[in-house]
Amino acid sequence: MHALEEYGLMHVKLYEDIARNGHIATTYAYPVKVEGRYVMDPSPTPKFDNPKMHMSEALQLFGAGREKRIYAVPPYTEVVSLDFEDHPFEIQKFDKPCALCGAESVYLDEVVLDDKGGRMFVCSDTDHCEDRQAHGHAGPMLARPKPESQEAAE
Amino acid sequence: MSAVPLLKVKDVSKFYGSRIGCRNVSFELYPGEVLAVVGESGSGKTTLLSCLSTRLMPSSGMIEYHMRDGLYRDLAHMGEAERRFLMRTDWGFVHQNPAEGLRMTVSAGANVGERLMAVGDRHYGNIRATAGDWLRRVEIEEDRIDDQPRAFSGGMRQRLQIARNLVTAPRLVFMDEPTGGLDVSVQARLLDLVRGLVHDLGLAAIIVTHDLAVARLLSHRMMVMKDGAVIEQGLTDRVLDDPREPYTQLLVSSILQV
Repeated sequence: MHALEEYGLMHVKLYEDIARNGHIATTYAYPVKVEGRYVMDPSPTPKFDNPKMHMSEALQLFGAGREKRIYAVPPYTEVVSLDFEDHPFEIQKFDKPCALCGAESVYLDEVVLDDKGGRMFVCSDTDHCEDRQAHGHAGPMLARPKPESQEAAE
Repeated sequence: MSAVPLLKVKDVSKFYGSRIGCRNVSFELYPGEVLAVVGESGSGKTTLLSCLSTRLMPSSGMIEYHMRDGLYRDLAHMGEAERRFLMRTDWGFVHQNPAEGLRMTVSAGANVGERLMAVGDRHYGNIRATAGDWLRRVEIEEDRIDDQPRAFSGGMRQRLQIARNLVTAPRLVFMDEPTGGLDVSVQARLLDLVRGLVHDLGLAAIIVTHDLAVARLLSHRMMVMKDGAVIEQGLTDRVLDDPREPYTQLLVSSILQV
């Protein structure tokens, strides 16, 4: 597939998404084209983080377990997410910052709080979130250091 | 028809070990011409088709194709990538069993659109419109565009496969028993459709069939194969109405006249 540059199938997948859902519903394992030549699936990474791979100064390593291979994207490499002209690549947008640390422009997970529709959005990267909290950042739903009140908040 | 042949085939042979697949087949195919290859099972017609469409490497002989840039290229000396590109743009291949030529688990629209996307079309709206247009041309209702071919009847699948192949406006289409496995009335409709499309698009086609009626309806010229060799070739009407070889006479006379 790589040698022959036959990547039509990747667009078929995106086409199916739009046909079924009206928009590209793939949220992770979103295919990217590297250096205008190789198509890659950055699998568990949410597509939210795809743009960060473009011209990244870090060396990026991807393990492809089933192929028993490791793929590397060198620093400062062009990485472009596949899309259609009339359905351009978009990342998720969140209305509010992280409920615990107040971080913006990070990927948030939805946490269901009760069965009455209560929910909160918190950083997917919990380590980063805790780090920020330790440095004094706080979001609107961060429980102050009383452990009982955290229970009560639910 | 233009003056230069689209495909030049010279002394193509294919051996499976000591067994003969086909031997010393030579012919030329002109743009817009439909050639039928007929013969009984095991006569080498499918082997020949596989060699012509680069699915098999011939043991000897040469196949040259007139590229869009006006040059003849020897298929055996083309790179794999180039051949694959040719196959998905300038050529089509219609399999006897539509399941082989279709992606059964993606929608009809995506099946038709795949080739467009493979050659770099990146506008969803346009791809979908083209796919819808092609479904209409092969008489599939446009509201089936999001259905998977699994939900289609055999005849519809075959028509979908044809649409999928023709969407990139190929110049040469290979068909391997395109009407095999379809009932008679569906066959008739399919043949009618193929005849119309071939005529409208000016396609050249090589159709392998054991059904002389298919050859009669679709082809301009035909080749009769027996034991791997071409024993008779000529204009379809001439071969069918005035067969010269004893085997062809047998073949023609074994059709039930209704």
